[in-house]
Amino acid sequence: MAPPGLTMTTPVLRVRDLRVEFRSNQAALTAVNGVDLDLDRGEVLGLVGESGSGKSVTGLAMMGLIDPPGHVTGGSVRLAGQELVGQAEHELRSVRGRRLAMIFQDPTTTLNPVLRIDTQMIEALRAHERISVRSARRRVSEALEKVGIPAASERMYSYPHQFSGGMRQRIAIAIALLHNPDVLIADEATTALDVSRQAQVLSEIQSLAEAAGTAMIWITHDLSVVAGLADRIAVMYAGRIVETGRVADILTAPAHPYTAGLIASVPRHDRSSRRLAQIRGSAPSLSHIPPGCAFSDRCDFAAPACRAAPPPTIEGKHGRSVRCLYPLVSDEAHA
Amino acid sequence: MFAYIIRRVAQSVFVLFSIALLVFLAIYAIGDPVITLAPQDATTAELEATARRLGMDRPLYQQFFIFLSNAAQGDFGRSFVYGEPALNVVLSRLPATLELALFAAFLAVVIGVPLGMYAGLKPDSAGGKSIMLGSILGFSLPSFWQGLMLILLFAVVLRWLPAGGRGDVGSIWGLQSSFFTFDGISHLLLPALNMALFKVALIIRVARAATRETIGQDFMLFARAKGLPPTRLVGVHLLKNILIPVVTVLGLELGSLIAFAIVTESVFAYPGMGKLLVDSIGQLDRPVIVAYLMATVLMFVVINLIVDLLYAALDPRIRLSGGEA
Repeated sequence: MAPPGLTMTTPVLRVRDLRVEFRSNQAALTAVNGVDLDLDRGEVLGLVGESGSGKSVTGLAMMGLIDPPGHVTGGSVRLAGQELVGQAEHELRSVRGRRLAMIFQDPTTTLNPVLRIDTQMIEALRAHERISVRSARRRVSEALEKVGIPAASERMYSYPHQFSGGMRQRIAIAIALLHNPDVLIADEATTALDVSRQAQVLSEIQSLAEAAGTAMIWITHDLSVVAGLADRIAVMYAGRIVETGRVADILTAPAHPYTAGLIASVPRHDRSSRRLAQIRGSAPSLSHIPPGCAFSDRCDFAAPACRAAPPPTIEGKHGRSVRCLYPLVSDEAHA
Repeated sequence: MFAYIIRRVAQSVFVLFSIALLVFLAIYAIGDPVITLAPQDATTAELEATARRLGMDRPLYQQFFIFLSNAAQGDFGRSFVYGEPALNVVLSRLPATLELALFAAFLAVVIGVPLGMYAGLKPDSAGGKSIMLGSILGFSLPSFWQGLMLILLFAVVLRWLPAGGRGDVGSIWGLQSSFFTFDGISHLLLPALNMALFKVALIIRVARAATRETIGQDFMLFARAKGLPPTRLVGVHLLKNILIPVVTVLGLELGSLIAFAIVTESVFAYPGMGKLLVDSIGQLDRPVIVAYLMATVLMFVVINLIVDLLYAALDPRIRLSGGEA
């Protein structure tokens, strides 16, 4: 644990120039292309992007769970100062689930169907702690109660299929938070739930993470989800972070044309009569990313310079940054 | 769970009834037993008397129910060759065949599951590829030739194991089995291995396919994200999932191991039911053949019933579909 003076300035998770490639016989596809992220203690970061933008791969790469043909080809992931990229598997294993946890999109498939809930939770506890089965069982029951499973001390002996999707996602959350991790990566964790459950589960995760002091990276394609949840947003496009900043700054004044397009395509009650805006074209496939700015083909403001070379990152106030030659808002500080 | 068991038992009884009908009709079609059993120079009146004595003058359906009620009491008539009740003759050979089949199934699982899992976990490694190549060999080699080669290698050249026959029978807690003596096991090893090799190949393929399918599942990724050690991932999360298809296939195959022990028992001169059947067909010992058929069918049905119940025990989702837990 860093001294109190340092915790304010040192992010709990610092990702620098993270690169992930998928190699086949013919070519190497770059799924994550130099991603930088900072996450402060207890902070919630929304990682937003279309499907295929590399946001899930980024999450898995931070966990060290990229399987061949995928490879982390470079960069650094530091969890409270400890480098994770290139670490031995047993080192990573002691971090996974204990200090860095992850939950996934589909609650109906994240729990092993042939193992009871208590088995799956006790093994998660005992993977990182020397603890008797009896006290592990007590911890499991408490953890399930915390996520709102009724009659947890009996229900923990049930199998996953005996729970609804929402309940299963709560169980997954309870498992992920068992060790009060420093960081929880949630990959579309509420997308598969119906809308009424979604809001409920979201606010529960938020308060649980807050109580545990756990910082979160909330991966989603849905801007409206992160709007109410996140402190900061990072927008991802074709393997790169194209814009980051505080939620309010980005939602009210997007600087990258892609972010602006995403925001315009969210349905809103105050303009329901109008047609929904959409970004023209579709996201480039990894094998055909345009040279220069990856978004240039779909951008209304693209100039010849955009297609020549990848745009540099322009830093602004309050941790704001944008990867665009012609940002929509000229931040006073980006000179 | 209870409703599920009741339903499965009812299905099994129906299958037994249908097979009894088939066997009865097939035997009825083969020829008139009156002519076989009556003296060669019998008059028409004597033939009719014999038919009456045997109940052959009654309508077909009545004969069937007589057959059925006799069969239900284990009465299939006396063996022409041994002069004993046919079922006793068959059942006296059952332990030997059962031992052989169970040992073969055991070998198939113990060899097949780990190899299949390895081939599924490392499909591109040299080991994984040679396992799959070996399984093709296991499929293609004819059982009798393979048996002869095993005898040649282990019994004739190396002289490690006996070439055939059944070994000493030991007894533990009143249970008689050649599993309990060293001599018994050494006699079982070669024929069991011969029967197991084909099943090993099958189980390797089933276990490999199930492994490939399971390791791509979200729950395996989540289990890794929990920080579990590989021993637990493979030994619990993966193994428990692949056991479901393995048990299914094995159950179906156990029946065929018993039924098709014929070749192996003949090659190894092993005194089991298969060899008895081959001998009885040669001697036209009809009661023994019928008793063998019905006993084998009963075994098939019971094994399948057990497999289904085991399946339900392994997969909690099936347990529930039969009724509320």
